[in-house]
Amino acid sequence: MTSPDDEPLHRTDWQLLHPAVATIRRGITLAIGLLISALLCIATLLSDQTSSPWYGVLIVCLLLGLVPAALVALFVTRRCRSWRYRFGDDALEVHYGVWWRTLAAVPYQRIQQVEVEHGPLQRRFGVVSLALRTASVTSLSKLPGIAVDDAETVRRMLLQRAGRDDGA
Amino acid sequence: MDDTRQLAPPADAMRLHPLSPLLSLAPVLRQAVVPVVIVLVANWRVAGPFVVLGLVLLLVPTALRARSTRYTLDREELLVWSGVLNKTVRVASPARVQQVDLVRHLRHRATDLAAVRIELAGTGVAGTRVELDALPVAEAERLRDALERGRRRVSAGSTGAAPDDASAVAPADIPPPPLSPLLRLSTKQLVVAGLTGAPVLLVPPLIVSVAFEALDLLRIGGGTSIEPNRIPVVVLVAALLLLWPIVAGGVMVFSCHDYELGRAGNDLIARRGLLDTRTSVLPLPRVQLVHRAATAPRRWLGLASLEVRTASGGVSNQYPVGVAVPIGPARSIDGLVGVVLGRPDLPLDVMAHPVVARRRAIRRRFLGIAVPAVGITLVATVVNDAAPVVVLGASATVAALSMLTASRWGRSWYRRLGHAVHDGVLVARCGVLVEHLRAVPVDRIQGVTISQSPWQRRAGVCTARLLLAGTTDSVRIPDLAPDDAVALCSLARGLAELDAARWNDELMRARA
Repeated sequence: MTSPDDEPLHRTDWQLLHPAVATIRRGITLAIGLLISALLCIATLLSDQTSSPWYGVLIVCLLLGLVPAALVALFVTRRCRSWRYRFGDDALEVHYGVWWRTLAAVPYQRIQQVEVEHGPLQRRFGVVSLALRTASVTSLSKLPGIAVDDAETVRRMLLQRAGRDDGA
Repeated sequence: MDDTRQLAPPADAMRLHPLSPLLSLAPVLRQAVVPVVIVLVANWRVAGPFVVLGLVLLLVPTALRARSTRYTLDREELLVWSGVLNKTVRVASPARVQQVDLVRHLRHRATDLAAVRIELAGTGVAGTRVELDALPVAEAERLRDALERGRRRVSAGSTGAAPDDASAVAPADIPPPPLSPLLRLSTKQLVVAGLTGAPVLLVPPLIVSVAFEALDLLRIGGGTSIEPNRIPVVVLVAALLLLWPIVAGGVMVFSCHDYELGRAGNDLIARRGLLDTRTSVLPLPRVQLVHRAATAPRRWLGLASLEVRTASGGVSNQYPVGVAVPIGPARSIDGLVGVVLGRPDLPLDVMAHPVVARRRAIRRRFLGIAVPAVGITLVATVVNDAAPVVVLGASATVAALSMLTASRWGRSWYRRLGHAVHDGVLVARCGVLVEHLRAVPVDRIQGVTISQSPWQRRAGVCTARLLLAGTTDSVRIPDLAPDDAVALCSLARGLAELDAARWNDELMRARA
C-alpha cells in the first residue's frame, strides 16, 4: 500500500481493503457462532432430554456453534484479503474471490451516484463502504473497507470523474 | 416551469376520465370475482356486508387517487400530479422517455378510452413508469403524439432555442416521419408461434408426467381393481394433449392479432392485439439490447423471435417493457437485428470459444444427467430386490445412455457458443434447447464482470458478464479465453485503459 498521504485516486497500483474489514466480519461471524452455541445450550438444558452434566452440554454446544463459525471466519478473512481495487484512468477495477474469482470494472462515466455508508462497527474501526450506483441493476454496488479519511476525497473525485459527459 | 409552480397543478391541468377508478380496479375485481361469488353463495347474509365494505374500501381510495391525478404538457414535458395525502409530482421529459405505449384493453375499448404508458430510463417499475389510465382516445393520442414530437425534437437537436422561446417552434411544425413496414404476422404464423414457444413446449411432458402420477395414485389407492379407473385418466390426458395446442395458439392470436412492426424515422413502432390492443413506440437510439431466441422446433422450421429492450426498468409480466416480435422467418429476424441497431448489414456470425469449453460442456451435462439418473436406477432396482448383476447392468446402461446424451448435447451447445464484435456491436450466442443471440452496442455497456470458478480456472477459461442499463438481462458469455474476455472489456466505453496485464495474470495464474 502506498502512503496514506497520497490522493487515493492517484494511486494507480492495486490496493487492499482496510484490514479492519476482515476484523469486523470475523467478529460478526464469531458472535453469530457464539449466539448459536448459547441458544443450543439453553434449549438443551431446558428440554430435560439429556443426562449429561451442564458443563458437558456447554462444551458440546460451544463446539457445535463455534467450530463452524471459526471455519467460516477463516474463509471470511481470506475472502477479505483477496480483495484488490484500483482507480484506473477511466474505470474502477476490482478483483475478489477465493475459489470463485471475479474481476469487475465500472467506468467512472457510468457512475450515477456514490454513497458513503458506515454502520456503528465500521465507525468504531474507522472504515466506510462506498456504494456505487450505475444505470445497471446488476453492477458492482459496494466497495467495502475504505479508510474513513479517504472516503470523502474518493467520493468527490469519483463524482468529478463521473461528471465527464460521455454523450450516451 | 419554475419550481413553485411544479408543487401544485395549474388551473388548466387535465384530469383523468371519470371512469378511470373503475377501469383501474377492473384487474383486481376480475381476480376477486370467483372467491367473492363462492363466499356469497355459501352465506350471502354474513358475507354480503363484508363484500360491500371491501368494495367501498377498494373503490374510494382509487377514486380519490384518480380524482387527484392531474397532468399537463409544459414545453413538451409531461407533468403529472397525484396523491391524496402524499402528493407526488412526476416529470417525464422528452430526453428521458424510452418508450411510449398506447394501450387499450377490452375495458378501454368498451368505454372508448385508452391508457398512455410512458417508460423512462432507470430501474424499478415504480420509479420509471408514468401511466395515465384512462383518457379519451383522442386525448391519449394527442398526448402520445406531443411526447413523440418532443422526443424527436430533442433527438434531432432542434432545441437550440432558449427555453422561453420553446413555443416559438410549434410541435406541429415537425411532422411525423412516414411509416415503413418491416414485418406483418398472419394468424397462421401466430398460431405457429404459440405452438413453438419455449414455455408451451413444457406442457405435454407435464401433462404426461401428471398422468403417470395419477395412475400411480390410483394403483396405490385402488389395489388390484385399477382397470376401471384407468380409462378416465387416459381420456383426460388425451383431451388435454389435444386442448393445449388450441390454448397455446389461441392465446398468441388474441395477444398479437394483426401484428405489425414498422419504422418511422428513428422510431420502431409495433401494433398488436385482438381484444387488448397495444401500440408501442420505441426510439431506436435508446436500444440497449436486441435478443433473438429460437427454440428447437422453431429452428427446424426456420423461425425465430425477437425482443428489443431499452434502458427502462426491468420487465413485469403484466406490462412487458420493450418491443417483442413473437415470431418471424429466421432470415427476416436476423435482418431486423441489424435494422434495429442502425447497422442494416450487421453480420451475426460468431467466433468459436476454446475447445476446452466443449469438454467442460460434455462433462457438466454428463454429471447433470448421469448422477440423478443412475441414482434413481439404483434405488428402483434395489427396492425391487433385483439381483446385483441386474442392478449393475441397469446402472451401467443408464450411465452409458447419459454419456451419449451429454456428448450430443454438449457438442451441440459448443457449436452454438460464440461471440464476436462487428461494427461496434457485440454479438453473443449460446443455448441448445433455446438458442439465444444477444446483440449489444458496445458503447451501451455499463460495466463488465469476469468471473472464474475453480474448474474454469483449471481449464483456463472464464465467464464474462456485460452489464446493461436498466434491464436485468445482462449479457453472459460463458467459457471464453481470458485474453478474449479482457480484450472484450477493453472495447467498452471507458474501459480502454484496463490493467490488462494484471487481469490476464489473475485469470491465467492457476493455469500456469
